[in-house]
Amino acid sequence: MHLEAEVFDLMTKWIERYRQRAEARYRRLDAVLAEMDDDEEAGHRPTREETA
Amino acid sequence: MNDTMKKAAIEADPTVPIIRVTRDFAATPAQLFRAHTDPELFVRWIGPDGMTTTLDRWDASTGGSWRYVAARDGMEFGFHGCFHEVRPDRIVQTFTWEGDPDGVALETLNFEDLGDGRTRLRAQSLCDSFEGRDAWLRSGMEVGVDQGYAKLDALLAAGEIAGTAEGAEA
Repeated sequence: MHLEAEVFDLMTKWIERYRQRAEARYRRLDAVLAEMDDDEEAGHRPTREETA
Repeated sequence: MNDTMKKAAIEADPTVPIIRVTRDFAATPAQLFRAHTDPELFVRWIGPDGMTTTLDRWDASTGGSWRYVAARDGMEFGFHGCFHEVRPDRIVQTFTWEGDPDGVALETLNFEDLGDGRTRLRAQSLCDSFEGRDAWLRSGMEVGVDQGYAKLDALLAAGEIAGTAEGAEA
């Protein structure tokens, strides 16, 4: 029983670490998307963000 | 549940070797699609912090293929795969880390329009074994050793991170 709990804890740690890596990646993606918004505003049509 | 999923939510399926990640973005599906298919945009966010990502091959269309290398301090990590299907609301591709060349995952990305310029990304990785999936979860290549493990352990100790309920009673 004790061993199972330890394995479960380890798995939970791996999953949380993986989630953190995904979140870090998606924050970089957020930044790229924000710049795309700027480009589009400078280019042609306004985005919805402006009216929000 | 109309609230945004501002932080990535993750699920490791107990019955099939799948990892699912869901995350909302302040962008349209078209913008998210572009960030996943335009090579210049893609390299700016895919690589781990502190690593340089170089595309070696990139044809983001149905039947196309890709390969990129992430490098830091003379160490290189190569990844490659094929684009099985590329369309505005969905990308399906294979994924191999060249450090484990026989391993291959099937990745499915869905871009769901939430309206108001927001889009939900659902990413699913189907690995070819539980061993392969768990090794991938465990690998931690993208996180520096000092980048938050201690903090994470503290959170775990404090019980602030909920487990994946089933099996927890052991």
